[in-house]
Amino acid sequence: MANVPAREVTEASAPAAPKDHSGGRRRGRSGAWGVGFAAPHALGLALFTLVPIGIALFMSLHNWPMIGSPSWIGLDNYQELLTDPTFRTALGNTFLFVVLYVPLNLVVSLGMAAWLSPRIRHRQIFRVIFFLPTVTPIVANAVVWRMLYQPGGAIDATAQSFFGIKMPDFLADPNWAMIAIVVMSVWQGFGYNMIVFSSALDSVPESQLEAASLDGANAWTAFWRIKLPLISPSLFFATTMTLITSFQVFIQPYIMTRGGPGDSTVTLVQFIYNQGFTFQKLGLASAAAWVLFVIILGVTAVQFLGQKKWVHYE
Amino acid sequence: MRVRTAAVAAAAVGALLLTGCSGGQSVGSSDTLTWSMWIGSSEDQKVWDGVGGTGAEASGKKVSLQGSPFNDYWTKISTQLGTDSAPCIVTMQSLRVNQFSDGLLPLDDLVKSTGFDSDAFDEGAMKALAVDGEQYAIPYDTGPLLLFYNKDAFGDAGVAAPAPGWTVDDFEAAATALKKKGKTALATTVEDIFLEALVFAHDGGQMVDDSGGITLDNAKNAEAVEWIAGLVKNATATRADGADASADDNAFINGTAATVVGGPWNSLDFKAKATFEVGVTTLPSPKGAQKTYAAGSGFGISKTCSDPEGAFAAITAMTSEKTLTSLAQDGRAFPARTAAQAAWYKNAGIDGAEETLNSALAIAVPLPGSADGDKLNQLLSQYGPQMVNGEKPAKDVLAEISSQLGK
Repeated sequence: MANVPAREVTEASAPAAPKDHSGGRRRGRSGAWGVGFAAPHALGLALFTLVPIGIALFMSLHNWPMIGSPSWIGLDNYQELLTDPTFRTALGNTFLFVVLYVPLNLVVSLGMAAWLSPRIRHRQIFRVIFFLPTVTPIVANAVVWRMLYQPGGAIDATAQSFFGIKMPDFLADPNWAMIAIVVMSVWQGFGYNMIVFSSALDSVPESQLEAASLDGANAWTAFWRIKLPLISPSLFFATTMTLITSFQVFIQPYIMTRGGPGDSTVTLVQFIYNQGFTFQKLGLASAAAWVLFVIILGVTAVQFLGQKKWVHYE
Repeated sequence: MRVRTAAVAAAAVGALLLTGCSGGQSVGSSDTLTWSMWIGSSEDQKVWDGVGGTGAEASGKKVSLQGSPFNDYWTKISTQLGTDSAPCIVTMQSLRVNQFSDGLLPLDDLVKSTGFDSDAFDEGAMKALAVDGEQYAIPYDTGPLLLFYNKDAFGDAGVAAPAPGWTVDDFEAAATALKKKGKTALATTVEDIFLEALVFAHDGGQMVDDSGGITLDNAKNAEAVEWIAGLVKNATATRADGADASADDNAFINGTAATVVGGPWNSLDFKAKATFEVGVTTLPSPKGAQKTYAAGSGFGISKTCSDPEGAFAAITAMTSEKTLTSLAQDGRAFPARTAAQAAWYKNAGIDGAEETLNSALAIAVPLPGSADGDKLNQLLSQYGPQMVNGEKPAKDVLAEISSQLGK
């Protein structure tokens, strides 16, 4: 990505230069270097992303057991997915997670970033503290949260001793399990977006805020009318990335509930994992992975189309 | 110009490929036999490294031990078997052997050609590692499922040490006495082997039948699970936790629960970690109808192993009387070789272990395995807690699991 502006700079710095022989050669040489520098990344992308995606598509059209030889079955795996109630449940659970998690994550991270304005003393310390959950391994976080949620764990014990209320067994109650996972995930994940928003808010020009306040805008109006539109590219970036990763949620439910109680927290990626590595049906797992891929691709495409309406690049 | 572009790109590709290659490892190279085993701790690692050493000596090759925790082991081995990265020597559990037999080499020819003495092994343990009459692994351990108990807690509650062959009524009486002292009697689990054994001991209900079919849908299973659920409701058993397979062991070791279902292979770990005196008895059964399952593990050879003869020589040494005696002396494994069993009793360090084991071994039947075993275990971990904790009727949950397995 860095080579693109560099090239623009070279070209812009010599706008008047006639298109002579030497200029062409220089551009040609830089083109060669450009390809050279881009090649490792492009190759890596091809080798480790595009090829596996292609192989997964190929596998999804086969009955592909873990041990033994695969056989061609066309679209049967996709048909099986459509009729499989477990897959539909996993799909529903994943959407439920996304719908709960993404807005909550954005609200919490934006709220925290707005609060952590340069006027807050020791804001760097707070930033580090809020960012800590994001850099600690998610498995360790999930194990700790399991303990917090358990009956007699920190949450239950606190509620009992202070209010005398017995809390539900969050992870074993089908109505609570997904909410418990969402809460843990927001705690784990908001730090990253908070840093992104925080730096975006810092770069909002002081002059515009000052102009707004001279025009009589209070802090609330300034935030909604000035700051939010100006950080909309960051909002767009954060929304897109958070949506993509939340569709891929796996570790939190896998560690905290194994998909239980019943199938109330089985997500798409866990469905894929179970089909592939526990039930040894690699073909069906690949088909489900492709469905997930298409969903993510579609949602991202919709976001890119929609961004014209609300994202301001200046 | 174009040539240069190509050259730079080619150099980059070359660099990429070189880094890629150096990351790979050669599995089963000509002077090494890879051996996969489940490893739970550094103590485990030390012991199994020693066992690998005897295999190396016998085969004249290096035996390289690949360890992973028990639950991950099955995921890993299922991705490896059938590919070139499969380890040569594969540790197999009796109830899972029919799930993986497609990737394993039948050992009968090697047994015959090397004059391996199968008769020196416990007959049930050998049979448990065979599928359709073909032997897929040589057992190193075997053992009936037993009930470990906290002697101190039983003593405090004024309950006499439970004798082998004790009944469900005896257990319930002990549970009531323990409850009065604020102790939970049983650490529950939904892990296949331990839940199946407890159910089978209770009323003979079988979740998997002898031919490997899943038979969850019978009244006896539901009845036995309801019995456990009753204990949970009554606060004489811990709530089952599907997401944490070691929750029951931990509850026993930290003193929360006074009993736990386990095999002889658990005894060393329990004794090492518990701060109380560990006792062992048989699973509670109705009077005069004592039942339990036996399960064991052994070493097999993957189909893709380039040197099955060398691997078999290693396995022969790894299951020799000397090796199994030394494993027994560590309290590690109750030997599948009858001649080495005396050493286990002598070193188990649990009073009454021999009497209990003899009583259990006399009536134990092999725990049947199913080709859908891992699927069953996964579904039990998801759905099992609901029935064991009494949130849903056992009958309904068992029907739900079997309908998912039936697909």
